[in-house]
Amino acid sequence: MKKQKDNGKMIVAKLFSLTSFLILLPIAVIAQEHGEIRGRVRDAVNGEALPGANVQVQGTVLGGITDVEGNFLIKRVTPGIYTLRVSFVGYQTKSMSVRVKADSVTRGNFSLQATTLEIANVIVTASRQPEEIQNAVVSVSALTTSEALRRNPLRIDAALESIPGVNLVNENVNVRNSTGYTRGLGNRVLVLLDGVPVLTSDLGNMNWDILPVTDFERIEVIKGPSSALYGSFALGGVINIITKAPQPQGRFSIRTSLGVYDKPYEPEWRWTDRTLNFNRADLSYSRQFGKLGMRVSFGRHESTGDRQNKHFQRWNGTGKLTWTFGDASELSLFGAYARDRRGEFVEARRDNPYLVPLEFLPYRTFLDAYTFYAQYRRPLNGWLEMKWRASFVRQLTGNHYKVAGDFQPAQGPGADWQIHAQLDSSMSFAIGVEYHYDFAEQRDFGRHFANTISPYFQQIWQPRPNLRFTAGLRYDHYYLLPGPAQQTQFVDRVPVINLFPDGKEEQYVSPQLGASYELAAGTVLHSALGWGIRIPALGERFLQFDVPIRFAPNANIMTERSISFELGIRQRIGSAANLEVTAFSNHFRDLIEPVFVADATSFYATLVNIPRARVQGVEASGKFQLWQNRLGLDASATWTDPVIRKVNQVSAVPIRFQEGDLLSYRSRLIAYVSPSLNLGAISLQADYSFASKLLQEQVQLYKDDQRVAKHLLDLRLLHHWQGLTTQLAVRNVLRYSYTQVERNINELRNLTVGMMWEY
Amino acid sequence: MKFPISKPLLGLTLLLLLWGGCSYDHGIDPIPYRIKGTVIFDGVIPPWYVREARVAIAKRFPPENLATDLIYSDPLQFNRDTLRTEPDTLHYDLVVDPGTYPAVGVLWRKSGASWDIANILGIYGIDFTGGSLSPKQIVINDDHPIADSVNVFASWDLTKRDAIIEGDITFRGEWPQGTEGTEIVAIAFFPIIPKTQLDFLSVKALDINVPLFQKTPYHYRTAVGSGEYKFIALFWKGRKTSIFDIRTIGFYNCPNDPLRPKPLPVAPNETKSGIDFTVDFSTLPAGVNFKKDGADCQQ
Repeated sequence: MKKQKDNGKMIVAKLFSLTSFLILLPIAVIAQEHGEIRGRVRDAVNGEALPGANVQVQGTVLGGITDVEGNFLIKRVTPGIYTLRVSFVGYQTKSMSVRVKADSVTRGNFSLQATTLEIANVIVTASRQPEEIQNAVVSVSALTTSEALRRNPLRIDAALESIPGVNLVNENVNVRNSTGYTRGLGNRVLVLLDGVPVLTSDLGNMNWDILPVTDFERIEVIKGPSSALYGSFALGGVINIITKAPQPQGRFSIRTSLGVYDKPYEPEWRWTDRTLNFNRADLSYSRQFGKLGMRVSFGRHESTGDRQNKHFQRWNGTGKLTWTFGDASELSLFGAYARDRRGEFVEARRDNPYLVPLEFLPYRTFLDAYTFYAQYRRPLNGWLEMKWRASFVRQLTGNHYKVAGDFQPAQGPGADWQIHAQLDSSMSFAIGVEYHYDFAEQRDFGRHFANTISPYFQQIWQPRPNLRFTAGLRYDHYYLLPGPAQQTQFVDRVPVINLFPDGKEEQYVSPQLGASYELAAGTVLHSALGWGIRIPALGERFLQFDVPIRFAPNANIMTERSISFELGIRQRIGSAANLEVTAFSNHFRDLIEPVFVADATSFYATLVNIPRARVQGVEASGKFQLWQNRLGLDASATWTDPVIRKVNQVSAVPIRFQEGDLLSYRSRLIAYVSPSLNLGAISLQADYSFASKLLQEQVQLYKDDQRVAKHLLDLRLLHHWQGLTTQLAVRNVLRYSYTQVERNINELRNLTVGMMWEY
Repeated sequence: MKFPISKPLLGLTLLLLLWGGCSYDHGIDPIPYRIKGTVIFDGVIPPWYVREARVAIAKRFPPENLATDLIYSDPLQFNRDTLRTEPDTLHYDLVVDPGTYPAVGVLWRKSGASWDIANILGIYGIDFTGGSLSPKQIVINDDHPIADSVNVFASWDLTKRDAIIEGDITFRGEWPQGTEGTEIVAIAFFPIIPKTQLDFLSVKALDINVPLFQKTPYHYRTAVGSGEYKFIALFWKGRKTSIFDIRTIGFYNCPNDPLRPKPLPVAPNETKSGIDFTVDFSTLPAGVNFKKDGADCQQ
């Protein structure tokens, strides 16, 4: 009873301090005497230091990263008894109890056991605070860089398809069939780079070239609505790409690959005698110089394409600087540039899926994209931490269809300010405000400005070690600025009509509740209920063009909303297996879908709202290591029922959806199996992915075209020798041809030779 | 450095080689059904305002929607060289689905305009100069997957737009409204008096710019080819009706016989004004029953 009263007094004291901080700026920090925790982290078998391991002081916001010698130092620790937790990818997490005294140094040394189940143990996206993946209340998957690089993807989006529940329809990423195919306009999965939103301000899509595959530490995928934390576009989920931190010991890496395409299986489809090929080179260097950390990378990627108008040349460069101040605060600066010059493959001819109709042959696209952010994290004391972020995303999408100018870059500055408080070991919360600004000016939709300001709150309460609750709430205030009713500033263009000359204001509240309960060691039950929103991107509201077909704006397009529920169970079986099964049900209102309308005199495309739709299903996944870790197996399957529940009976747009129809471009069943055989320095791997056939009602054009299920098999042979990994890979071994989007066939079989060397 | 080749790896390799010898499904197949032929243009040089011409295969006839009911070829690469002596002869080869195709023709499109069924250069099986119209249909099935020598004679003369006809259209009665109401009206110019559905293919020019629900007299001014027009009429189509239910609701008639179409000769570079007529919505749903015997106007 006395202990509970003491805890209660401590929490009240902390809340009072927090309130004082919030009211009185600058911060009033309560002066206390502090101690330090030092230690070393090593491999339990060979004793080698483990640089870059994450050390957390449980119940506080304090922590550190081990240096090149495996040493760590955590300062400004209030005297008391704490649990230190160390995690490192490829090793089992370990905890230790320590007592910290004022003005003294406490030591804590760790020896970690390697585990062959490569799982990122700690994630940050599910609740905006670091937590163990096993305890997350929502479904979350994490892909490590080593897992991704084994598959030698040429781009980050290709690496995503190995994540359970994630599939790509062309370049549109789907989490549990949330997005379908939007033809580059909008997305129902929010993509973040180190927590910074990076969807473009004009079309709301993602430029996957912005970061090379070698530059990310891990990718966290949150499935289900996360609008309570991240706002609009997080209707179907969130993908957070976490970049690598500078390496304490200095690291140089080079990754190259060369490949050639096979000829089409069908002789009548062979369209050229040239040898179609591709190549890629990425260089990176990372080093810690005392308090300054640095990471730079450059990459170039080139391909002839396996068909007409699929050729491209891409360059990218990234740079990251981190500075650790004496008070343990940290400043991170990041910049990325991507440049893409490519042919634009709109659709294939009917007689040959590798050729485009003559009128599409001249189409080209050029992209120039920048992303910058600055993040500052400052622990104010042992239980309070402040984060501040400013960012800028800019993308210029060039002239696809060779029409006369003007194309201006879309620009999206943003900022986020957050307080994270760890009141005690059982309760923490994050409170913050996010601001985002969108600007776009383009001949096909005019000049528009919009901003969103969003306060948010997330609380985690863990009354018992095996029981955890979360509650989150976010308020989004969106304002589309007024503008002239007609815009005439564009070259050789009829005036662009502004459908909202008086502007528009919208407000939304998105709550979320979740719980996880550890039934037994390694068995966790989790459940979440959340609301989601997606405010249409500027391009979705205003887009209008005539080439290659007419696209008409819909003045009545409304914001999408959702309510989602999921219930799942995770089971870890020692270091041999990790299993998860989740049932989910997502109910959508006013889902925005593109439609193609053919009336007596014309054929055009536009966007409509589907008043009610539902995507519910089951997802199962497993990771296994068997036969003394020689045999590995990753497998997942997601079955969904994506159904239209209600259509708009009175609509200005004649649409052909009917209640009971399946939503477009969403395969009911997607599955992924990846066995691997490890024999010392050599390993043999396979990836098989499947997606069920789309029905006629699920495509919008060319409904009579042949459609088949997706069966894709890739094989790889890898050899490791010291820091050098060489790889021989064959993609699409079966020479299988399928389409998910009309007249866009999958890639031809190709052979790749790759090398990655780290020094 | 050793490269161990273990028995399991060797076994797996052999398994892969054996499997590689098996046959299996490769997914999408090429479509075997095709319609092929030649378009033979006449010796006339294409007019400067012709943007492109394509072979069009009708899935249904008449087509209700030109974007979905027709299969188009790539743009035909006809010759605009004024010094050439041989007529253009261009081959086409289009993939189709099995079925019956009632008509194959060549359409042309003006710069800046969309496709128009009235802009016909030629139809397989039809000789425009003879005035008879019987397009030949094509049947594609597994027994006959390829139709070859589906040749079309195309005449650039049909693109001629060297004269103008203008006048006023007066509206009587109420425009059909609501969901059952008017979808489109168009002024059509015919060299013959159409007696059957197929005769509508002989249309020489079409003007779809008449505004719907117009109350006051509307002045039209349409570019046409020179020649004689025996039937100039306004056609109406309702929202929920098919293309077969197009109705004539007014036409240029003889002064002393309101049911008899009046012929109109137009010379090259001539503008014929005062070609007025009245539209009466009370004739719907049947439309105007005009005389089809082709006799001249009585004096």
